[in-house]
Amino acid sequence: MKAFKVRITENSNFPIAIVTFDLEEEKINKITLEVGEELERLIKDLHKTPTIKGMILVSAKPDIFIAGADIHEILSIRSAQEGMAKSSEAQGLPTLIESLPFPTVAAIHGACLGGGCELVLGFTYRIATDHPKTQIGLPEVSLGILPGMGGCVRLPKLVGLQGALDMILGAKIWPAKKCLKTGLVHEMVPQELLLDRAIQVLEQGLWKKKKSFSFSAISWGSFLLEKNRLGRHMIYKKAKDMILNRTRGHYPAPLKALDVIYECLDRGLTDSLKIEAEGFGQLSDTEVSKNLIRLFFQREVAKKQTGVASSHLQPKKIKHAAVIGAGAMGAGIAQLLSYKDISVRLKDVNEEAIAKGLKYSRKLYQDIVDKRHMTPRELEQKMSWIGPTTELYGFKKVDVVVEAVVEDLSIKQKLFTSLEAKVPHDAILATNTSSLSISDIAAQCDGKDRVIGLHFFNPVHKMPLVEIVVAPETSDQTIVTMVEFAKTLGKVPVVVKNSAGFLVNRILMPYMNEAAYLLEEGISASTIDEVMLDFGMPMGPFTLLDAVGIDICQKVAHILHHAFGDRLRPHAILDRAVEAGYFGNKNGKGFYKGAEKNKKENSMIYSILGVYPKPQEYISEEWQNRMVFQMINEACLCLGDGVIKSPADLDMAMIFGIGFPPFRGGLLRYAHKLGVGKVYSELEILHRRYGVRFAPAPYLKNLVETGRKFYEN
Amino acid sequence: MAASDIVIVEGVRTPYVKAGAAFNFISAQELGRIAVSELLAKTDLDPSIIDEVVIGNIGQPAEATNIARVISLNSHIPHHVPAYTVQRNCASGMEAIAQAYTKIRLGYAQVVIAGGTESMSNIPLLFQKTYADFLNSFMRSKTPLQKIQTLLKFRFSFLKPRIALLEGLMDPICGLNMGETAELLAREWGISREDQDRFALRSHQKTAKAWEEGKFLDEVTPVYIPKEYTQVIKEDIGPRKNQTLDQLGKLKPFFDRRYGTVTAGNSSQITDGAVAVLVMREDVALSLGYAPLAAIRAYAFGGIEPKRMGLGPVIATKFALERAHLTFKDIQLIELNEAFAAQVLAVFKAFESSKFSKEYLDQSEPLGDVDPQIVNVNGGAIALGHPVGSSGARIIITLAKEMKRRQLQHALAMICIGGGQGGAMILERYA
Repeated sequence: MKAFKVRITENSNFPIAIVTFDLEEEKINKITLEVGEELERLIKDLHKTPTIKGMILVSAKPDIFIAGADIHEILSIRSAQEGMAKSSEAQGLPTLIESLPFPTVAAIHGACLGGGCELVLGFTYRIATDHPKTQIGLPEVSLGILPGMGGCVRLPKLVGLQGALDMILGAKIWPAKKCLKTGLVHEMVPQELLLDRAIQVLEQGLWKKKKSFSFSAISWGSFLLEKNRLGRHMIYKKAKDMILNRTRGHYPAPLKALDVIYECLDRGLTDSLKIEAEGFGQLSDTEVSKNLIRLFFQREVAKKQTGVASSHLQPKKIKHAAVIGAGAMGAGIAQLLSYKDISVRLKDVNEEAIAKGLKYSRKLYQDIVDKRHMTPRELEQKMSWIGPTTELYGFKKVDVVVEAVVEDLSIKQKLFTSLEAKVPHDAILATNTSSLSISDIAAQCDGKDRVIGLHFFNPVHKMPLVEIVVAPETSDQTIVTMVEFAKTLGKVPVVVKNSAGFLVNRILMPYMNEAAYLLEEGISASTIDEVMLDFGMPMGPFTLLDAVGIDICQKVAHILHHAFGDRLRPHAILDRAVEAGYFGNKNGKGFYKGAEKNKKENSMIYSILGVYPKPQEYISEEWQNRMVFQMINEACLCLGDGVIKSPADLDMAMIFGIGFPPFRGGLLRYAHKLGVGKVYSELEILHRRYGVRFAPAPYLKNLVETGRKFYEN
Repeated sequence: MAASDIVIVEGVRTPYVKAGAAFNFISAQELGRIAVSELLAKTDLDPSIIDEVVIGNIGQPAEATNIARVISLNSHIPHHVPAYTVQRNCASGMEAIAQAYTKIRLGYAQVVIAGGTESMSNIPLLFQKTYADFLNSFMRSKTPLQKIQTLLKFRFSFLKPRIALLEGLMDPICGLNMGETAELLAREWGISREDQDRFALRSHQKTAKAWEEGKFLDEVTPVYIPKEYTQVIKEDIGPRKNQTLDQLGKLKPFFDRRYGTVTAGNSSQITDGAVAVLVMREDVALSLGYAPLAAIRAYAFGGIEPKRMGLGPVIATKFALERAHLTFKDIQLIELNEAFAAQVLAVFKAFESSKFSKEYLDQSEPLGDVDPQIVNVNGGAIALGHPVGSSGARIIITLAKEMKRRQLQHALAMICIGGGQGGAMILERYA
């Protein structure tokens, strides 16, 4: 494989080597072992050529400069020593470039990430284009590792300690403008001028110019903080607290990265690089990192999946859409569509409902504007894609209708039949139902093949998962188009079979149910929530109940009970809570009261439910196990029923749908790690102790008996 | 090619809302966008087949020069569709439709979005030229001394704003305000205060009735008021259901406080609103499956002395009738924009006056008697308001829809134009 081409400029007084990175047979540039070796040879050759006065690195890939290091190589690391050796070797590249006797310029257009970013940190001068695709960042921490090519060492020197922590610990990617402001790049130019400017910088020696000092309160503030030990220690402490707060210690990478960066501040280059390589080695060998990288690959695989076995079907492009129902779901979906410049008719029964929906959508945009990621002008333009209407006007050119009205079968059926006459014959009719059967909704339609479930999760703008719910009548063309549609919306689509609760809610319900049992046994809601937070869930079961709505959960629970029998009999406290008018956050009556920051347990609800939690002396490991094993068992039942294709798809759905802790690699990856046999025997014990709801799934039993596992590796 | 080859397919407007009220913070371009977008939705038109977008507008917001293009792109009509703005004062909206007609007639276009928009709430205050010069010279002063010298030339009179709305309503040729031209007509044609007030009252009553009968639901699209959307404007704000002659009689004359008869109550209101109209070649409309509202038979604009601008419609009608090969008797329904009650009543009299005909129309016979029963059957600008760039298009869609409801053969839309002009358009029953 050849990755680089070198051309020497024709100016004989000032010959410059222009090195073009163009990795053969790849769409992107990445730093693999071979690429590194080739670059090393090339630089050493240039070093030996006495006439060369400068070097420029450019990329030939459209909108990609360097996407990063090869993650496969990182996944294959078997020990901390091996990881450390790999890091040390990679660190040699930027150091080598730094040591060249002539100035070097990185002319960056497109994404420059991870190892790519670390490589250019070794250059004398960096120019970025002002193109929106030009972004520089160090996302390593999101893969459970740290920048191991000198990034932890060089970045703080360029952008200051706080800037470096922001990028590295937050796994952030900065747009060119921010790179310029922070000093990560020296210049920002229009794309057309990039190479000419790079040559000019070298020929005219512009790289020697010191940046003129500008006085501002902010720079003084960071000067005072960062230029002394005490200030720096304060920053370190604060960052550490923040990480622990956010991750509960489940993610070692940001902590390690923080330590490495902090320790390297006052050390020489050689020492620093050694510390960094050690840190990288330790992290690369962790289970968390492996899980996160595997997850990354699963997502990449998922991006290529079409949702059906046959590959000849082409997805239809969605340009016009309609959303029926302007509640939080409908308005959220409308906002998402408008954000992607898809025209959307937002329909509801009356103007007041629509107005509420518009307010909701606009608020989502306003939040983006407030974060300065969008201008007010862009907000207006995005909002103009949403056409509010109380009539079925403007439906003759829609490619898809997404229905998000109340969960009432007869209303939905009526709506779908009336839609059939109003939309083109090939338009897709999608329902965002979370509990009704797609086949039932389509029952009275003439064209049942174009009816499909498109189940977004609440809140739409935050939750990445979309369940594509497929009924037996649904056509492959409809599936392919909807899977692609979900991807264009930036969501993670998972194709699931049309059965009660679909996938995510079905797995979630026995988990919440188990939490109810625990509550009845005298453990308080907040203790139970705490147990699951410790496990790594983004929120505990009772917080989730409040957020989703106790009434909604109760409804779904009964549907599941009806569909799957006594195994899923809802705990009585759900009914009791709903009867007493406790619906959760939506009416301010739930397991908790007060807003997010200062929410408190609502002890009022306990007397209504007839439960009396006692202070607990210790946290029993069984509590967590009971809740998690309910999920695992239900997941196995789903696999057995063919609700979803594979454990990998299921894990992705749980992570992107309810935020199952990514560091655990997913629900079944967690079970896999425990071992199939262990999970089975544990379930057997629980089965004996607590009854039928823990009866191990046949799928699991089968795995045990045939000696198979959830995952190969 | 027969004149009936060009049809009005559909028209949509925002509610007309008196200035400074619910639409206070909505720009003319946004009002226009809402009207055009809803027209596209209502007709399910594929916007890529549009050949031209023509929008009438008088205020021409500084931030949206060529407002038609801004509206077109914000309505997500593709880039390749050109757009331009027309300004013929109060007839700008009618001019836009006339442009559509002419272009299609010439074979330069087949599908045109026409319309008009005005946000009179957003017509700006201007700085004096003296202040602009002062700022300019301050910017050019280099040394601190020069700067101080320039600053010393400051006069507080520089800060007196110029009110563009008022200046726009003042005729620069005759020096009369539009209301004063109405006063002139009232005096010349002997139109009493009471007649004017009675006419104004009828306007309110007819508008209220049209709303009660749901007639306007067919042309008005609701506007959701950002950013909180606590308000949704579904109906015009301006018509007063419970208006009485007594109340109107109590108002002081606005333009000539001593001897005048024209009051705020018998004049059109200052209002925000937009209209969008889809105009097409007949065969194209039919091939797309539309059932057009009406065909455009002819239009004309004509001129008169600026101080008698209110009578412009009579002159324009003469030419329009000639072009349509019709006589005034053939007209079964009329929309005459109600700039002022006095002006409307003067137009009625001029239609019937031999003297006026001889002097202005170059004919001895008057055009004919006006039957007030067929004029503005759903009320007019005195109740609805007069968002100046938009009204000319509004009367045409209101007329087209009403003539279709009544299944009439010929109808006439007329509007007087500040600066001494009039516009007239004749519609013909379609199929």
